[in-house]
Amino acid sequence: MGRAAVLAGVGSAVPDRVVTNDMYAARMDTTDEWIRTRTGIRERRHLERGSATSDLAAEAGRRALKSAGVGAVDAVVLATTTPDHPCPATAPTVAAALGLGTVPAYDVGAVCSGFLYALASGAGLIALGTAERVLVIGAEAFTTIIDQSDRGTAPIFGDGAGAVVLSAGDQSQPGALLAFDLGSDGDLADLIIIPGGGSRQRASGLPAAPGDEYMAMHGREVFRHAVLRMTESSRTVLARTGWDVGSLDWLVGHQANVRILRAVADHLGLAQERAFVNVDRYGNTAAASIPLALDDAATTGLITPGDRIVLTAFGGGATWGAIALEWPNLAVA
Amino acid sequence: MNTTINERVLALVADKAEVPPARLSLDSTLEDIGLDSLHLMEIALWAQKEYGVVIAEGELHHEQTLAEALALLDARTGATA
Repeated sequence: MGRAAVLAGVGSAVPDRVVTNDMYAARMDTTDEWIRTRTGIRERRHLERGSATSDLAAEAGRRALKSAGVGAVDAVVLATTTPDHPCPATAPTVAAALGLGTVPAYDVGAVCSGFLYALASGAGLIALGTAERVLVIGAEAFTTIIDQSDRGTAPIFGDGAGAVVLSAGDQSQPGALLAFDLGSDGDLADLIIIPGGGSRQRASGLPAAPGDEYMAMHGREVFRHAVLRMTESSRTVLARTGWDVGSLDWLVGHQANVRILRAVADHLGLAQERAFVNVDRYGNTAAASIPLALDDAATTGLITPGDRIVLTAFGGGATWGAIALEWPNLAVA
Repeated sequence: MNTTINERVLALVADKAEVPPARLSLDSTLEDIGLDSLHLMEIALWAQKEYGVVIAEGELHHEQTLAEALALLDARTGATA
């Protein structure tokens, strides 16, 4: 069998501060019922003041390294939409915080699809022989780019991080990343966008308009494209692995909205209960959501060794993707 | 009007609004029936999956009566019994 990147460890970290729907209802025109019925979200975590993305990333990374039983890796790939600074990338800070030495470390930006892109990038380093072991992290302080007075976006997003260790192995091993599908459509860039703060606004010579530092989202159109792209991408990796949809144990989709996850399952012809859901407890944590979901599902025993899993996501860009794997026997917290 | 698609849409709407199909009134607006904006998108995506037609955002809207929504989906899907 051919060389492959194999999942060897998983971990996650979320801030302690729980923000409930009622806390939003107390300060804006919304209700717990409105948020729950439209998103499935009951609560989410918010970063403590003074913390940043790298703090969550390092903690998740530490736990993934412990799960893998390793103290060193050959590279760190971090998927994030909310780096500690616009420049430099956050991954080197995380690598240093973890005492990983001078290994290559870089950020990948694909918003909510970021973790799948980062997994593909990490697997690529292994395929090239550049690395034998890669720490791949998805981490977000996403609430820092959300207008907390906007009832349309504020209750949706949360902060968190998840990480996995990829090790060189072969495709017959449990945990091998068996099939990838990634895509983008830049014509849909406006669907999910922070208008200000980038070179487009800075080069205009004009200051950013008020509120342009926050993310804006066209929710209904995102819903439509997310369902169609996640369905199509999942079908593509199912075809590449030769798995029948009925043989799939878990669809671990990006945790944006429970109704998107249900619709994707429906479009795939997959039983609703096969779509893993933890958006109710963490909200949408963007690039962190898939590794956070994997760690959650493994820790609670929902996902067990040998399970056939498809990971899928849709996010800003627009970007999307899917990856298929069989769950390995991992040590989890 | 096509009976088959009408029946399917009514069943779908009843399921989403969580009311028995017999309780649906054709003269009620989609809003009065209790459908939210994502329900309308879910119905549009269902039509795309089942009939291969793209119902654009806004073609189904809250002020429409159920009868108008049925007529739109019937016309757009061009389904035959």
